[in-house]
Amino acid sequence: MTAPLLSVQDLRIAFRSQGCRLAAVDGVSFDLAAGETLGIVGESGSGKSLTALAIIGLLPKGGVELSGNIRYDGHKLHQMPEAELQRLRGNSIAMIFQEPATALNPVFTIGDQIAEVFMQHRYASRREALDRAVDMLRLVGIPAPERRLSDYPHQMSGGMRQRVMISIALACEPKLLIADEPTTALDVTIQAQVLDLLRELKDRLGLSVILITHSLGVVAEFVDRVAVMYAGRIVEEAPTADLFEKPLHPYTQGLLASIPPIDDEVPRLHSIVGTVPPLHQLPAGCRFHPRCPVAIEECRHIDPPLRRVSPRRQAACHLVRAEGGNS
Amino acid sequence: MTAPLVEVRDLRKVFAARSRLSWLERRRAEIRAVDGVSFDIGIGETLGLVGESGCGKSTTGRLLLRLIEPSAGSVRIGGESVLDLDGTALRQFRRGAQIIFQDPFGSLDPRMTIGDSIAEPMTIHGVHNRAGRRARVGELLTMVGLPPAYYDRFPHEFSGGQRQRIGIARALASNPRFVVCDEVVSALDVSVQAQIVNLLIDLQRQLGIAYLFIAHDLSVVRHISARVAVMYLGKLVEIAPTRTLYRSPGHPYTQALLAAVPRPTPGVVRRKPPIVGDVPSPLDPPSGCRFRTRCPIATSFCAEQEPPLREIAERQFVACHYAS
Repeated sequence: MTAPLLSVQDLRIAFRSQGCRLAAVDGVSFDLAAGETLGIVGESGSGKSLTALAIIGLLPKGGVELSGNIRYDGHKLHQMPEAELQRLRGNSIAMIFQEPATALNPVFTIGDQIAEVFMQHRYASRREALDRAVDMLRLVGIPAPERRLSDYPHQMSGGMRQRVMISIALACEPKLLIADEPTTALDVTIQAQVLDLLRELKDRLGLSVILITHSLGVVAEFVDRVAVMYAGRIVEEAPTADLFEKPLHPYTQGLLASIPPIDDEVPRLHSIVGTVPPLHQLPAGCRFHPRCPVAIEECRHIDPPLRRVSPRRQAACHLVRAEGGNS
Repeated sequence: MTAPLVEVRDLRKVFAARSRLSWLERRRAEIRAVDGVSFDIGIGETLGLVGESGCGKSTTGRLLLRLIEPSAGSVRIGGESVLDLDGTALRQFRRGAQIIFQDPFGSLDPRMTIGDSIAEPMTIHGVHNRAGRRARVGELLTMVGLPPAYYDRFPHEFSGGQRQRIGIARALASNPRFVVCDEVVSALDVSVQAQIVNLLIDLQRQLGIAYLFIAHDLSVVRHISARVAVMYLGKLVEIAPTRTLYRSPGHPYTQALLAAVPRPTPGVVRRKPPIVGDVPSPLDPPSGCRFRTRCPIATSFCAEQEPPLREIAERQFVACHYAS
């Protein structure tokens, strides 16, 4: 087996706040193969976005404790000096965010903002860079791209702005794209357009993608493999089809059952009792046990590690035995 | 059939906007945010109202309660003409018709205990004395699944889902017959969203409240609504019983909306959404049918003639020349 493109080992991110230490990401490990798409799913506060920011080196500098190994394509990202990291960012790893309106600079035209990437990373002249910007806008399906170069972000719709963000991210033909809730702020018909575009570009350019989202529908459509996060940990990891067909962790089961089906009627929605615990009140033992319908005494005291239960699946639950199934 | 609780006829709201054609030339422009909308809601019924951002669904909800003043049309709730009320009568009306918003944190005063926040409508409407109000707040908290002892806590001590429960308790304080729910679960996590949806359904069964359930999430709307209305650029394009609308949507826009929802079933390939492009600017909506610029089956006739809502199946009304 070839080495993965990206390998994250025992990633930990903690914040210091008013004298206490808040462990927001607590021992997260996963691999991503070249050309693979991995979905990281979780509710707010699960640590999914922080994990992404850590990979790309964009965590805030002050008050953050970061540990663990992040290897990417032969580089040790966690030991890389900022200048080198910056060269990698945009060139080889790119990221798109949820809200394109805040990620774009309101006082520059979109032409300038795309051209900047080529001038920074490819040392292109402004003229060349603007030509390339037109190509990029065409690639992401913006009609009449020559005329949109001089537009400012506020003159575009949300869907168009997200297309511009994607064109900036893909400008230098990165190998890895990290997309953090790329369609959450968009209307459903526009979301479908943007997902189709991302899928097409991924295939055409051979991208590896990490898609971070709270939407299980988006995950089912887009990724090969899913990691489910809860309160700073990965609780389950599996190929997408397996996860949806037979979720192993009680949290994943609850999450899937909570979605109202759009093609069918159900008498009553399943819901998970309680709420995600705040970081300063994480329970002992398994972090999910206070909300878990099948918790046993062991769960209150012993934190279950993420264990391999079949060749391609892992779960962190005392009740999940190897070879699948809740015993 | 009994008379409906809410009767909305030809409701309109025009916002003035300034559109600048160039530095020198300015022109007065108007946005018809809600443009001739009519529907009924029965006693204890839930009508879902869906559409993409800017379609006028939230404005419609606010117009019904006169949180903003309609430009034209009529709204009758419980037989009373809402637009003719003023002073005491309007205040009286508002006891019976409430609204719950998307962001319960933004609608709770951070310096007031949640008990006082919930009691505020009773204070304003002069219901109960102090002790009576406290007891009633305790009842309301229990009803929405929170311990009565939370009375003296402040909003920041609660999670998003708990805050939404508090928002619901406050809306129920004055025993409303009608509640507008404006994107009430949109900001919540999936697992918590299900709790709130179940709570709203339980309360409806217990208290016989009618809901106008405004949301962009079509799955949640299917689950909670008896009938669903679809808006596009200020107009109703379809209104039908829930099952009919989801199984055989009549309007091309409804069909596109439903097709675009990602299914949580891997391997089920989404039909390529048949619509392209963005919603046109409401400052300059298309002539005729407003959806025609994105419609896969539009003809030149659609540009000339605006399609009226017509009944294509039992209780299914669709505004499309070609729906059948």
